[in-house]
Amino acid sequence: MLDITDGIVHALLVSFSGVVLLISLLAYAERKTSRYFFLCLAFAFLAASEVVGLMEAWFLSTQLIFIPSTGIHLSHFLEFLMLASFSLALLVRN
Amino acid sequence: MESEGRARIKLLVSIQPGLHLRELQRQIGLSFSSTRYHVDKLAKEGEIDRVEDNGYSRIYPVGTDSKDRILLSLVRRKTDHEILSWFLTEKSITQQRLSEVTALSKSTISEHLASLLELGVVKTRVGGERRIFELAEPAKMYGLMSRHPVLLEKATSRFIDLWDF
Repeated sequence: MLDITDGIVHALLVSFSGVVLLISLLAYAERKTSRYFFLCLAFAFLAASEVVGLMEAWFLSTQLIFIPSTGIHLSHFLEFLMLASFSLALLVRN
Repeated sequence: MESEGRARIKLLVSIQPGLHLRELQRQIGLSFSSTRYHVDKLAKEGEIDRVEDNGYSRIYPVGTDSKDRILLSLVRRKTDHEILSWFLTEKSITQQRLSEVTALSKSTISEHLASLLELGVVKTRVGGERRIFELAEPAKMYGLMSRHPVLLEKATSRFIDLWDF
């Protein structure tokens, strides 16, 4: 059963992460350096993770989606990729 | 390479007069110190004008007259930009109406209007019991305002600055 408030929060998370992703894409289009590329990637993983969260909340009664035959939660894996991309963005030379 | 960087700086400044150093550096994609070096060199050679304005170092094409510099500087300040935008929307406006639409206090509006009047950017006439304010040169101001970046551009610029180290 979909909790309306939780559903709204997930929809807002998807919207905001989409806005931040758009801004990071515009920043990359302007600067075209590896740092901004990794930032775009990080925000893309964040947006993807939020979309997965939204699907879990709206369609799967908050049941987590797994990556087939690995036992890893998809949203957690996406968050891991996001953090890895942020780390790379911090480490690369601009 | 050096002359290419300077040519780009001159081009950007001619398109967007009144750019400040940080904004120029972001758009040109060089390091801050390289941008400052080129700007100093160009200013010394009389190719551009560099003017200190409220803590910003603004750059203008050489020969920009002082009144235009003031106008360009005004449209790049948040509060003045907001007030001037309402002049473009409503053509004639009272102090009270400006205060309502901008949600700024009457004293803030009064202070900004006084300075805009002094600079000759706006003019005033009496309409009934109230003073009505209008732009002195609406067409010119419209041209200057349209160069001002929109919210998304500002957000992108802040994002770039945040990660530029």
